[in-house]
Amino acid sequence: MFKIDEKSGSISFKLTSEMKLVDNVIRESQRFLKQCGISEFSGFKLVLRELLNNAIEHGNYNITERLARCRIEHISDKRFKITVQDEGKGFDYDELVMTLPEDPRRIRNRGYALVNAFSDQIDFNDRGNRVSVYITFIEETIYKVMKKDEWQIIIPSGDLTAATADNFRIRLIEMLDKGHSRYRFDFTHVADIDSVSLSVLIIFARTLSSKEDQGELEVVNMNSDLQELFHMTRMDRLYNIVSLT
Amino acid sequence: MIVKKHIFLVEDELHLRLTLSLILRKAGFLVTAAEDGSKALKQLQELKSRSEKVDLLVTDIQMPGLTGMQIIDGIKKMALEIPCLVITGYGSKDIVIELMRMGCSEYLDKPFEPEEFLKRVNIVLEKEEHKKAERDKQVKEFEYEKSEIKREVEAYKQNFEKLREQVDLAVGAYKNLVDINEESCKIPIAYHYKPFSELGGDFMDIRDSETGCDILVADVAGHDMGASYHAVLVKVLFDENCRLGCDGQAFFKHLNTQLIEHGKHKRMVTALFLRLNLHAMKGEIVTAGHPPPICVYPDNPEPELYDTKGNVLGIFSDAVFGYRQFDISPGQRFFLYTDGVTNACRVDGPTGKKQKLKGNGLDSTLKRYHFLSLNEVIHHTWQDVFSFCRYKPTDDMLLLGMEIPGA
Repeated sequence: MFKIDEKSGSISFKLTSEMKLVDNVIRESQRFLKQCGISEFSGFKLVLRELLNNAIEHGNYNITERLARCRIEHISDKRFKITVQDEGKGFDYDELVMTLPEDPRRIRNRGYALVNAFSDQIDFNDRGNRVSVYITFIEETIYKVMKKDEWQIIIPSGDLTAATADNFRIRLIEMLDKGHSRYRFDFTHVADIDSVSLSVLIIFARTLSSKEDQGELEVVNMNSDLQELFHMTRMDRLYNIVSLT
Repeated sequence: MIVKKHIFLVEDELHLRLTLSLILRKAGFLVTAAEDGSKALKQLQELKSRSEKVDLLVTDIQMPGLTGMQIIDGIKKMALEIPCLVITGYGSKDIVIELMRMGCSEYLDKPFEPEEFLKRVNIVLEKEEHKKAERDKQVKEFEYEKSEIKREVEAYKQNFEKLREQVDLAVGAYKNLVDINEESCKIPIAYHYKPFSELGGDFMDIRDSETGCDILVADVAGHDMGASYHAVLVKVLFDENCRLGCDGQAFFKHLNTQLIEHGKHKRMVTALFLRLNLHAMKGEIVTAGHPPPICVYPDNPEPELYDTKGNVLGIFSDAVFGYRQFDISPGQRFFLYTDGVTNACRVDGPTGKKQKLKGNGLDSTLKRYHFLSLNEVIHHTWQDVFSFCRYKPTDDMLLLGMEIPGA
């Protein structure tokens, strides 16, 4: 048996404990996510499959008549909640190992560690036969550049981390090569800067000062944590921190 | 030896059957003849079970019992692939179309001349030869491509294994770099560290001096091999400094210059140097953009930050470092760490808000375990930090605790 109930903002499935039905859930969920504007599906799929397999295999012991229920809710823009419930007796979820094995070549015992790796939070009901998993689709930080008077205004769309540092560096070098000398970084959307990206900012400042006599660097809309970071690393000697408000 | 082509003939009219058999035998073919469809299918089945090949089926279309089409159908059901030449009585267009649809290769209208019959037989056989040659060619090409791919995969596998061995060596080297023999120092220490990927840029070391010990905690930006390379540089210079006995300020100045000169790809390094003099019961710290050490007294669970500001290493040649001197007392504990610990974060499921451990979070954890032994404090704090970030660190993490002896 396989039933779908689709409402605006959520999709629910009711299925008998047959592994082949898991693919139906995956397929329908992908369609649902597409409607919500999500196209990159792999991490989500992995989590969903793992939860459903667990429910059918370990929860319902593959007894066909037992039902598995699954609900996917679109909580906000890029956030979803998956709830999966089986008719089993539950299990002791405190015993779960959430860390992936040190050796990447080991493939067993990864189930919940993988779910954990691809999700924000995992909650169980007391009995342990219902699990809720929250997932955020993270978008790669992009760097919007605008011009205003003599200034190049750079607006990163999210956090500056090691993962995005290469792109950041490339964009900055492109601008340097064009001979611009005034740069204003707008950190409205930046909550975090890691040390790798900080190094990029430092090196950029040094390169600018060696190339342009009139070089000017400003940061606007920076949160207090980041101001503290700039202060501690004395980055505030290189970047003029401006409070616009 | 030339193997004769084997032709299977189905014809209900005795005269025609014998004539066609004779024509074919004369032309050098091996012939098996059957007088109706069901006998034909039975014989074909027997031939199949003996693995005897049939190269062509010649069949009349209109016969009592099974028709030619039904025979062709039966052959298909037997999973036999035999080209066929159908002899039709009326040349009706519909039948011809249906025959072609069923995969019949040729047809011949009755009546016909023996030459015409042989010509058609040969055309079908040639077509079949050609098809077979094409197929063989494709199979050969496919086999070739397969072996090429196999070879490539093999090469990649070997390359990967070699790389893996090298990384394993580097991982081992990094572990040796950071691992400290806890028993060998003048003061009790306890620590945990976990690189974000296999190799890290977090580094710590401790060396006994005449009067106490020197401790260094450093964090090279990034968590790759390059970061580990910088960590090696930091270690070498720390070793040298311990031998020379220079003070922390001089050490950081030297370290800074060396990092700028030798670190080809500039990397920011933050570091904290702690010197403990157990004779004079004095301590001093020098900091370079590193999070402040936390100090805890045995009689007071409230942690105290030894905050000093200083520039990061490896970037500014005129860097200035923070410095602070203080008294130490027996039982006093110091906790040194890298920002991976205080930056441990998680996303709250229902709200989607990012939550960071921060210095406060670390302080309150240390406070909670204040009454425990140093080893236990480090162990439990480490567990708490990991569980806070849901076992998903986003940076290298290192936590080192030490206790002034004599309590």
